[in-house]
Amino acid sequence: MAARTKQQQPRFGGEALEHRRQLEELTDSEVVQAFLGGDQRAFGELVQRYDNRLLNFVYRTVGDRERAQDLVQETFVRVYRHLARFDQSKKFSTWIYTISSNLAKNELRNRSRNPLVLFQTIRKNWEANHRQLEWEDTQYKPDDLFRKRHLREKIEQAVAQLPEHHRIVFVLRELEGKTYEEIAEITGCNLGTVKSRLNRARNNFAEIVAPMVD
Amino acid sequence: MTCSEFQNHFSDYHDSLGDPAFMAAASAHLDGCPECRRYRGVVEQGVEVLRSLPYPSVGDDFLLRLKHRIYHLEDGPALRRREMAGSATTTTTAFAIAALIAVAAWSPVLTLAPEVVLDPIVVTRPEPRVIGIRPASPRALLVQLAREEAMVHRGLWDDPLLLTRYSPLTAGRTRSASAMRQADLE
Repeated sequence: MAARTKQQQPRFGGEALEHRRQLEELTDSEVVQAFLGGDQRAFGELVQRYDNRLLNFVYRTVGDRERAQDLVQETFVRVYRHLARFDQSKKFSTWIYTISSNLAKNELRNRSRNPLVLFQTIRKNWEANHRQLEWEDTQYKPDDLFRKRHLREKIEQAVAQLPEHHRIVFVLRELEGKTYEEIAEITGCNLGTVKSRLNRARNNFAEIVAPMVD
Repeated sequence: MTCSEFQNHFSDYHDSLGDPAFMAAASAHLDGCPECRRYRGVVEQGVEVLRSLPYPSVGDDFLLRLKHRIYHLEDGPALRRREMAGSATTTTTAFAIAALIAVAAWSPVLTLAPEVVLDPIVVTRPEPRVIGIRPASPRALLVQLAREEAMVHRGLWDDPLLLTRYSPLTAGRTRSASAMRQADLE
């Protein structure tokens, strides 16, 4: 991307409301084209569309909200730098989620450099992939008030407890509503692997939350 | 269809990805299996609660920080170029200093050794010493000293008696030998 002078630096927000409304009605591809055509405010529109969604995805993946914000910032910086090379025949959302997913995976990989953490992660992933799928109908029925109060907390913990490669697929499917093909493209896996990981993720998730759910 | 088969392919049923035969078999299994029905209910209800959780939102300064980072995107390469030029200057200076030191160390003018004249060292033969033998009288001492001096001139290691005379292993014999000599001298 050509170097910009300070006068040409993008300005977000505070511009004509009409122009903003026009941008809101465009599709992602049209906004990208507007930005590449010189409309700096179009990039602000992309940021506004994806900031919280990406934050939710990255936060559920890495479990640290502050770090997730940094990674989302880094995602947008990379989008800004490489948007000119983006293949516009593909979906922009898949591309931006791919960048975020790679950054989140790098973050998790860097954390696991501690030998003990690495060993525990490897063991957890191996067990999650090779343990036989099983389901037990527990008779445990805790007090309703207790259950409701802690259900949300338990649900969040259940997602955080999933192995990393299951968690990413689970969040992309259940929270972000991505299709199997999109998930395969974002994670760099084939369709069969996505199905297998999602199935195991749902099984693990169900086992953890079952005592709290009717 | 067994419970194991149903759970192994739950995603195909849940997301309607299976063929019609599979979907029919899965539905029929669910109708007759309360455990698998509960399994499906737990997954669906858990996901529903998960989706109802509030979306985390970016901080108030998120956009400002992003603008700042993008504004300074071009500064990174410029700073790196400046750093490389600076490091090249530093490297050149370091090499020049090292070369000067090497020239100074190997220069023939600077490595001339000063001439130092020392007094000659004279080594003399030490005076013989008698250890462990106490003469009975001053005259005996003088005689003994004369004998020792003669032994030294002859060669200390030529006298076989000398090796045994001062040995602690033959202390008894040496005492008696010296007593006999003293008696002869006396």
